[in-house]
This record gives sequence, structure tokens and C-alpha cells, in this order.
Amino acid sequence: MVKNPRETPGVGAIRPLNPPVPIVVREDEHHRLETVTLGRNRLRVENTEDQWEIDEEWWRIRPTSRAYYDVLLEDGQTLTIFRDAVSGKWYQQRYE
Amino acid sequence: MKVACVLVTHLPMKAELMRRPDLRDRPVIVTEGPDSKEVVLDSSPEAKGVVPGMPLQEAMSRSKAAVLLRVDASHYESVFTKMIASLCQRSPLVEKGEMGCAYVGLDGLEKMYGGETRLVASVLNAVPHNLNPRVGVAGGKFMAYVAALSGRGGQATRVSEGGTASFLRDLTVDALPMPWEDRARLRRFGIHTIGHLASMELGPIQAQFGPAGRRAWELANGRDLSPLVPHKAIDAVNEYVIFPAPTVTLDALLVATELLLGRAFARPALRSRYVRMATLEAKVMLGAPWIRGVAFRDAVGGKEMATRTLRATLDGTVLPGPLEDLGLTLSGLTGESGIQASLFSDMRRQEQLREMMRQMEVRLRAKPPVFKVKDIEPWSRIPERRQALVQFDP
Repeated sequence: MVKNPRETPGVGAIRPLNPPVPIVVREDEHHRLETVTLGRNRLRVENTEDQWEIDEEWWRIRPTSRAYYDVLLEDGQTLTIFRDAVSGKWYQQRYE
Repeated sequence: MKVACVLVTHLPMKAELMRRPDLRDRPVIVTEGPDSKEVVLDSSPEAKGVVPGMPLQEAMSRSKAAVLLRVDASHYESVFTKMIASLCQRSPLVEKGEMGCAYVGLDGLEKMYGGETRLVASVLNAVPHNLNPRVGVAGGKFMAYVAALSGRGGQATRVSEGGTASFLRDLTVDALPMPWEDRARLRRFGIHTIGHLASMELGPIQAQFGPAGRRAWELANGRDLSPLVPHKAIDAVNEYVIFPAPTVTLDALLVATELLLGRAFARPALRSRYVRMATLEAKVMLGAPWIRGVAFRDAVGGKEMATRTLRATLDGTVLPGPLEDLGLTLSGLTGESGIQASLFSDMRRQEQLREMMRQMEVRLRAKPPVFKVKDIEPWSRIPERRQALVQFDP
């Protein structure tokens, strides 16, 4: 009889790709994006190039509700970030 | 014939507490049945006034603060199977009774264990202590069962050959293996105890209750010739995975199935062996478990062939709800050592990949962190749901 391995489930065998990465974003009093901190660098947001929202999985205890922004930073790079409407936290994530 | 009955009462509840220790000392109810007709399968002692078979509404009205758990039959079966496997290490003759009950043949083992006391202690210790097993030892299965039922958790009760009648005398007829209706009829005849039944003539009992009555009468008189039917362990290989998030897509199910098949066929138990049956089982969020069995027309000896067959079988399957995990059982293992392969197969390349992975495993002293990207829900608006990294298993 081969032992049932249920007691040591292989949680790590399937890993989501492109998971959200927590990031620090500063907004002004009108919720306009001011700065994004990448590593040790705090970079000014020059422009918000695109903005969209997703509301999914309403049937789960913790639904997914996010406001995404494509922002142009002062060093010229474009970054996709989102604000989790449930937790209020900011994340960086590729969105293609 | 000397038999030990190992009895674990409330096995579903104890199995739940083993994996959810945070529920200890709290009222908990395990339910079963369809949503509209849910009934109590088991409950913790803290859920006062709740008994098995009670409709859920009534149970909730009696124990308002109770935590509700849906039945997880495969988990309970897994705990019970482990218990049986452990008992099989103690005696070659083990019969699997109803859930939580097993009979162990003790004849001829006393000398090996250094006496009956040590043998019984060994049987008792074969079951995890948190299942709080009871053991009854007697000359037959029924007496051993009654002895276990009358005993206390973690202890053994022995009924001597001559003490059967006195042991059974005052027990109620509820202990007899008869249908509930027959036991109720016995009571209507004024027969409430086993001792009373034993004192009756066999003829009238048999006339009223037929073969079941005869058997009950014989048991009441300490005559139990039912043999021990040895449990035959099913040769099977199990693999299991938890989804990062509940999934409703067939693609995710197929990816997980392929992963599990890869792991299963990598196990030494399947080396140079073929399988005839695959069973997939998943826990469904807020629903009954989803189970699908697939019998292979020709026994398969590798991941690729098994994956192709399972893909074809699962194509078009409508899942009953979001799946939380997936278990795979490969059974019907054959002794076949090989099937002639095609001259132009890619076996050599696969073997090279396997060899490379083995070398990495030796060097890293761990499973190599090599993954491949698989589409899970490529249409999803949530980016992390679109693809997943799946452990690479050539």
C-alpha cells in the first residue's frame, strides 16, 4: 500500500505567474498620483497614461476589485500599478 | 478464535480536529446530504443536544454557535485507511468493518509480542492517540465489538470465554446488528436486554424475525462463528495538489492532472508498472466533492499516454463549482514490465532530460526549482490567473 500524501500537500507545485508586488505610492489630497517608490528611489509621476478598473469574483469572500494605472515616471519608464479597492494597498503588476 | 475490535467512535469529527486543531473545545457540526436536506453526520461534544441524522435546522437551533463543516468523505476514508494499514503491521489478519471499526485476529501472535497484554497494547498503540481508540478482546467479532463499545477511549476491555453471558446480560438490544425496525419490534414484545433475548426459545424468535432473529439470538447466547475477512490493501498511488485559488476552468484541471500524473509516474511504486484506472477527486467550494473515474482500455505505463487519455475523457466536462484541490489515484497496477515502443519516439530526449534533473537534484540536494509556464485562464482579467508556473517533470 502506498501512503496517501495528503498530509503534505504540494502547495508550491503550481505557482501563479506575475503575482502583484507591493509598492509604495503617494497621492495628493485629490488622489492624484504623486510619487512611486521603486527600491530606494522615489520617482515623480509625470503623467497617468491609462486607467481602468476590474471587478471580478464577486462570489468569493474576498472579491477582486482593482483600479489600474499606467504611469509615466520621471526617469522615462512606464509602470503599471494598481490600487486594491478592498485593502487600499498599492501593487505593481504587468498587464498585457 | 481470539479477536480484537478496534473502535474509533466519531471518526469524522476526530479526523476534522486532527487537521483543524483550532476547532478544539468548540461546538462543531459535520453535515452531509444535499443543500436542502442537510443532516448531521457527526458533532463535537460541545454541540449539546446534536445527534447524527438530525436535520441541520434543528441542530443549529440547539447549538447556535456551532461551526459547520461539510463532509469530506475522502479525508475520513484516508484517516481510516491509515489506521487499517497500521493495524496490518501488527497482525496479518485485519478486517475492515464500518467506518472507524476494524477487527484484528490475535491467534498465534501472543508469543511474538511476549503475552496478550503486550499484544493488545500494541494494537491499541497502532492507532493515533488523538483518535482515542477503544479495544475489545473476545472470542468472536460481535463480543469484541460489544466489549470495545462498553469500554473507554484509550483502554482495552477483555471478555473471557466464560464471561460472555454475564457481560451481555444487561446490555440493551441496540447493540445487536439488527435493523432498527427489528429492534423496535423486540421492544414491543417486551424484550429490552440481550440477556432477556438469550433466555427466550429460538423457535418463536426465528418465527417472528427470520434469519436476522436467529443470528441475533445466537449472538445473544455468545455464539459467533462469523469469520474474519482479511482486508486486501488496494495497490494504488495517490498524488495531491492544492490550487492557488479556487478554479472553475477545465484548463486548470488539466494542468493539475498532468502535474499529478508526472509525479505519480515518477514514484518508485510505478517503476516498470502499468496502471488500469485513474480516479480524480476534488474538493468543491461550498459543495459536494467532485469525483471522476477513468478506466484505461489498455494499461498505461507513462505520463504522456495517461495524460492524452484523461484529456480526451475530461474534454467537455462541466465542473460543479470552483475546485479547491485535486487528488489523483492510480490503481489497478499491473505487473507488466513494458510495451514495445515506436522506433521514432522521443524517449531518448526524455531520458536525457530526466538524467539532467537527477543530476541537479543530487547537486542541489533538493528537487530542482525548474518550472514551465502553462496557460491556466489566458482570458482572465486578473493577470496572475492567466498563467502559472508548474513544476517541470520530464
